Amino acid sequence: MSLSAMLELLIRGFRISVSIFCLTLIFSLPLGLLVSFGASSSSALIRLPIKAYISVMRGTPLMLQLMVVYFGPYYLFGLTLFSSYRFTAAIIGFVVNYAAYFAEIYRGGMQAIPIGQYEAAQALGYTRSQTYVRIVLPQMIKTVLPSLTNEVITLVKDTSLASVLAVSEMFSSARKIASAQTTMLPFAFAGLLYYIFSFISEKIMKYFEKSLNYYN
Amino acid sequence: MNVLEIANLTKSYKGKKVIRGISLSVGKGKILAIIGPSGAGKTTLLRCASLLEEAEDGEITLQGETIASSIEGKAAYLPDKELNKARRAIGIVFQSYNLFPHFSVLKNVIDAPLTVLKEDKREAREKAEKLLIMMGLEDKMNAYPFELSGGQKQRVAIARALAMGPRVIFFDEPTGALDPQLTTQMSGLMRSLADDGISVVIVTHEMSFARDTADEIIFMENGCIIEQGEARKVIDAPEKERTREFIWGSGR
Repeated sequence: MSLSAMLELLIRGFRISVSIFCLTLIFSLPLGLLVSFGASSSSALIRLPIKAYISVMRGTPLMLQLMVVYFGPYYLFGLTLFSSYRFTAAIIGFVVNYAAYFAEIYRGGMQAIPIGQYEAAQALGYTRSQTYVRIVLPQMIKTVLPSLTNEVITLVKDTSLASVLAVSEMFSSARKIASAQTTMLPFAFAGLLYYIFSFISEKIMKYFEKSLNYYN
Repeated sequence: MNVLEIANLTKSYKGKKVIRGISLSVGKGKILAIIGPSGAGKTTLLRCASLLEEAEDGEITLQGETIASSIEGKAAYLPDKELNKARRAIGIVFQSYNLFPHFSVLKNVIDAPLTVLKEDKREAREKAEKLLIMMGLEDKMNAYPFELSGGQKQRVAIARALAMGPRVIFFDEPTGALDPQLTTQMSGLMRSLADDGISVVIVTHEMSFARDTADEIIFMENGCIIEQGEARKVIDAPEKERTREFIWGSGR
């Protein structure tokens, strides 16, 4: 196999890794916010199940969770699995897992907002939702961005876990080529691409952090 | 007509009575100062009177409208929505100002009129600029709160409260961060608010500031009013022994 053919296969896998990454962030960032509201709900009926969900997501391996999402419908409900479900299952698994982590980060960020901010908003007649949207969320985002950066970089590398569902992302591609060609070269390339990917992600996140540095 | 009337207000924290049946009233364009030792319940009284916190029992009337009435030994408040509307008549200048750090000075002042009162953008802006000029902050409109001194932050907080057109404005320890010159200025500012028909309620432990600024003074201790009356009279010739002790002990 020529080097360019190898690279082409890897890059095809890389594209899938990037889509897993993007789709996960698009869905889990807002979902995490909903979960964090639920986790601080005054109703125990909402709060306790959500806390349990966060606890399980953080306390079990993501690889195992991916397998549950993929094989669960068959073992639990006897549904037939289509191989096209692999990718969807991976996305569901990643989103549900990352939303739990994001929820915890958001919760910490909310708690860092001084009570005086809520009181000032209340005194000015802001409704609860106006207070959240205009006063609390913008300040919360600034506090949580550094922690989000961490998670985002972790996600770049976690996309390789989708290989457990035989999703043909970059790590699966590398392993396939490596075993067929008996060479470690594809792993070296994949490693390099993962590094470039996380490097760029970090730079983008730093850019967001910087753009919120106009106040203290 | 009194702008604010409070009758038999009580409040406890964790079973401990902090306010034990206080009644007071503030007339239109009058300045009321609440003085007393630390732990007297001054700030709690201010927080209940300004509707930041709910009283346990008592009656609150704002511009003739009943905000809370005493029903079976409990304060029954208006529903949230109406309570929120009633708050528009109240301005609060917090001890730590509580400016919104992510908003510029101008935005701090303009945001509530736009968001809450749905004012026209141009009008709101003109009004905010006028208020900030009045506060001597014309060159700070685009600054952020972290770039300001304590006194400047306080004046932004005053402008922010005034932009909502309050009928009564509350100040919690307004002189804490001010030097003597700024304290005198603050006194003049409160006077001019009162002259414009806005009632002012101040919580302070600075006797001379209270004496020179307020029309009326309430001296409280242990959640009760010990003495109340015309400002100069309460400070210069208090009737009660306890008031005398406190005021003379403070070096006046």
